Amino acid sequence: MLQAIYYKEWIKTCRMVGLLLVLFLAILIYSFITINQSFRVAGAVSTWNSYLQNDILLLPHLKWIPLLGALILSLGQFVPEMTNQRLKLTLHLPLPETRTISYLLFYGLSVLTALYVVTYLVLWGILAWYYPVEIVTTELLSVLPWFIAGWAGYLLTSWVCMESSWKQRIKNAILSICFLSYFFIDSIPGSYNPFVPFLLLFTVICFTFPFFSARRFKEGIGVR
Amino acid sequence: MPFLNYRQLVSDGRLPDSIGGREVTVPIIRSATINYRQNPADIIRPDTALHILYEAMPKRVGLETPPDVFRLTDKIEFIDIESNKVDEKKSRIFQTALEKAGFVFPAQWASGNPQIRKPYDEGYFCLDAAGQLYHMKMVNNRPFVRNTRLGEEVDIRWFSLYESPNKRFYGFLFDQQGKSCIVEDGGGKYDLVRMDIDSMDIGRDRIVIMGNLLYWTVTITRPDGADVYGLDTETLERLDEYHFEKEAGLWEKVASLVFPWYLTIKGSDSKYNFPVFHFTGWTGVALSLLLAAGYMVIWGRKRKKGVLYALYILLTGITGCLLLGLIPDVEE
Repeated sequence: MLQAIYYKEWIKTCRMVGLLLVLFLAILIYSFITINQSFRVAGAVSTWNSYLQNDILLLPHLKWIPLLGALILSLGQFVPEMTNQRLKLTLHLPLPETRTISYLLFYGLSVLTALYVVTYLVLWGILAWYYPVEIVTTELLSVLPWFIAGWAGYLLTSWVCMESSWKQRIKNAILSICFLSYFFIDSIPGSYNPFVPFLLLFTVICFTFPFFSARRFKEGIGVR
Repeated sequence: MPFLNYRQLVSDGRLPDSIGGREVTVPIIRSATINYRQNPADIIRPDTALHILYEAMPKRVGLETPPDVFRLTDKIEFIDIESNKVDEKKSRIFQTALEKAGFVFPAQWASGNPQIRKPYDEGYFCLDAAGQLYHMKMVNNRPFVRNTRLGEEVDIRWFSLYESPNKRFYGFLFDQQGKSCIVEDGGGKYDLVRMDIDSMDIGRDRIVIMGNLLYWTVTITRPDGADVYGLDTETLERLDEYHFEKEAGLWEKVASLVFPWYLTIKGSDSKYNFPVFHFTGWTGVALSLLLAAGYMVIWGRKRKKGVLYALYILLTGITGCLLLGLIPDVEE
């Protein structure tokens, strides 16, 4: 059953996954070009000193990309489910409702995690070529909240999508934006380090949210 | 006032020859002027642990950006920026110099002032594992390392390097007991001169020092108010003091009435993002109690989880009430 569900999800989202691959590849190429350009134009000494003295982020353009990727995947996965109430069919599979929803969410999270891990590793490689381990570590930890925001964003978008009532969907969306704002507070490199465990904990809590929407959907609340 | 407005006085040709029995000229005023401020967030902040060490005796007029940076942990290592590799030769020279001076690794911290726009460079003051403060700088591309011996006098918490225009002192030293001092250049040795001010917590309080030829004005801003001290420039003894009580702002007044507690992520005394709970007072708790009782009377009995929701309102107050309106009950 798990294989069948994953195959169904793959058919539904393969184009979206392709789009995400292109998006993340583009951002990696852009990161490489930006860093290389700053070394070529300003010189290594000036670039390092600028980083050490001015508290600047090396990869600011990456900020919204993991969240954008999560939104694309979540919408691609759950909008078709909600169109003509197809989610009803999924929930009628011979599996407990909780397990079915978990499989759907785990599929999306697995795709995102694979993308994020590969992106993170490539970024590590690019940064390590130009910068010492201290700067690489600080920078990778600084962008980590944006990747965690991607996971949380995926779960919250699923929560919004699976909600059957439009009124409640708007309320959920407003709350989601408020929650996600905690991942994007303007700060200097390394500021988020002690906050990361809280963000991870919050993301784990977010995993439970879509189940409320699914339950409301199944009970017909707001369904016309 | 004449020390603050000396440019205007010079322009008007009204700068006095002497003030308070001290000769006054523009270079003298400039060299005696101190402008120093330190926030807790300057100390409690992420650190990349890489430092820039300038040549203290540059061949040109100003300081020049070096082609390397150093890390000081369980050893000292200079990293050549162009190649992103450790400069073994320079690292070995500095490591030997530190060991020869008695530096005990691993280092606790290194405090410097890596700004190129300053009159001269005094390098770094580094605290070793044994609590001794070492002065390290680079002179003619060679290491200059000296034990200040100040760790034998005080339990050092932090040192803030300040290249004073008249080269009278190296910077400000704060000990674990909250005492503040300056480290004076005693001609080859380092002398500690205590500032005659009350104890402060550099992890919480803000310090601003504005000094001139005759007096230093030291302002310590604490959570409950501010203390202002007038010190004699020569001896740093207290001449006068004044205390301001902090007045609650509009937000604090409203928060204490409406919210029993609130959460902030970015504190003013740190550059880290971290959730901090603030308890506002019992007025907010009373309001929450009232709201919870009201909820229980009006809706509590109609809903299955009425008691649970009332408890939730008691804990979260008006914010929780608003959120309850946004999140639906599954059994709605």
